[in-house]
Amino acid sequence: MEHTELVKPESLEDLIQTLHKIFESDRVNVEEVQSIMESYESKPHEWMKYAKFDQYRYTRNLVNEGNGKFNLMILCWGEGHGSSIHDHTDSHCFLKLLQGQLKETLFDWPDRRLQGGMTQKSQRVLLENQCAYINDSIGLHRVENVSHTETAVSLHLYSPPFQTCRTFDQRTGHHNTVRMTFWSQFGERTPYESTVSQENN
Amino acid sequence: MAHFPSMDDKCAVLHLSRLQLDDLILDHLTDSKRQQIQQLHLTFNRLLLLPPSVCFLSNLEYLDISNNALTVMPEDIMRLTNLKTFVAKNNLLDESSFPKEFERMQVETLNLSGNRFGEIPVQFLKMTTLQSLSLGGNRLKTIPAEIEKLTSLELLYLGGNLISFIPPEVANLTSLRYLVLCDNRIQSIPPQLNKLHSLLSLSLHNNLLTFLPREILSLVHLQELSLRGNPLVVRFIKDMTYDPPSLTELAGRTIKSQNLPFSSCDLPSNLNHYLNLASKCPNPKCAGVYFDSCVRHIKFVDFCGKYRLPLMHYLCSPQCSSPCSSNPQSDAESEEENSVPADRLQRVLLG
Repeated sequence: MEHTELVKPESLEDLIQTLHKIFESDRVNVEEVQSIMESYESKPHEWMKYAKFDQYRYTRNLVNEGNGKFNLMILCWGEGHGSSIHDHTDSHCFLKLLQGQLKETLFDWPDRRLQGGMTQKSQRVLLENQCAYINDSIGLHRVENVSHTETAVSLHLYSPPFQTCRTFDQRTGHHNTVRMTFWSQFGERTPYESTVSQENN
Repeated sequence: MAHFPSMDDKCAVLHLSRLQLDDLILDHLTDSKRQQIQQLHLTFNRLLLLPPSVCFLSNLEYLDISNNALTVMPEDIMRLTNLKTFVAKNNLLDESSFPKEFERMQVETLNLSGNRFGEIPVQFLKMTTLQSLSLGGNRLKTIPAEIEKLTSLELLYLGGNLISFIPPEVANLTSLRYLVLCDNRIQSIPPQLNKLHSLLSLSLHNNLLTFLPREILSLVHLQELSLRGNPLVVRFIKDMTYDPPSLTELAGRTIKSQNLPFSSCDLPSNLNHYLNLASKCPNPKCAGVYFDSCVRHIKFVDFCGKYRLPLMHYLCSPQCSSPCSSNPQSDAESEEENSVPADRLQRVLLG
């Protein structure tokens, strides 16, 4: 198997170009992508234009469409903002911290036979520049900024791209399919119609 | 250690963060330069005190001194009459740190998260210009009823404290759009919170809630509601230990629901007072009232992106069951109540 030389990306642009090259092939080497993303040292002035915050909930800001092979986006988390428990629609998901910290809680897929809620499998705090990975065979997760004083910014890569996913109610295991929307794309604010909460958090 | 910032002619923003400063001397600046400064960032330094120089920046509108080691704010801070935003997160401030006169400041945004406040300082409760108040990650045990005086408040962040009770007076903050009470010890939400007509986001995750008041359904503008990490009930076990109403209550109920005419001189004052305490039964098909004797009734309703939230209200009697609510998505709860197995009922009776 060919390995791309693991040269540390010097900038966000450099990282994006490297990712384009890696994703030219149809097979994804998870460790390689995780390693490249982790080795990019976050420099706020390079991603500030994508980091648009909302007062009431976390935002998803599209950075690059990866020639259709992946979506690269930046998520902005205010104090206390958290996601629902969700899946990743059969795609790879890479999550890198650009600023602050995020708590990731892992869950198994709910078992219809077992009444009662979903219990967490494990929990960890992701620190600045760390890169985590998940896919549906590993399980489901919830991501939260538990800080009451600091915001958090994370870089996400999803391959292949997906527009809907399932969110899970922890108490019952019940799930909903939700459409995923972008707060901004390529640095421009892109409002969407629905304002009603789609997340079960 | 003094620091001489260089300033160009138009500079209104001074960035002096992460410079290991333990003091700041701006004596060398001319008056006009001093008056030019509108924003000052002094975060992540080693300040034990607010440098006196800062208090002479008479046009300062924005001051961020987060992540230092401040224990007290000097009285001279009152000189900053144009200060609109004051941020001092992650310091060592508490309720005795601020001068008494601080209430006269016209500050609109006050962020003191990550300090050591055991209570909200009295001065803050008189600052009617406040639009945004953040005291997250402190040691607050209560929310004082006087919070209702902050009538301009749009954001109230009290997450990460030791709060166990929400006073109904919070509901008088009718401009409130964002209320954060996550990571506390709250066991119930007052039904009056439905008066917060402007509320767009309510953060209640990681508390001790077992149900929510049915009145929450009237918060029609609510876009975000976080409830993770609460022991919300999944099943409702009917309360079997219902105390039947007293004779006084039965008489009171008859008078009110039959609209029996009486004047205040017909009755002793204590009974007049009692009759005024009647609560209307929320069941729209029931014209009844109750005084002290009522039953809790829980209905499971989909609301605000959540699946089957347990919503509670009181009914005047166990026989008074509620018909379908205004929410067309709600399940009929009678299935839940009738399907409670006998052995479960026995366990509740025996406590």
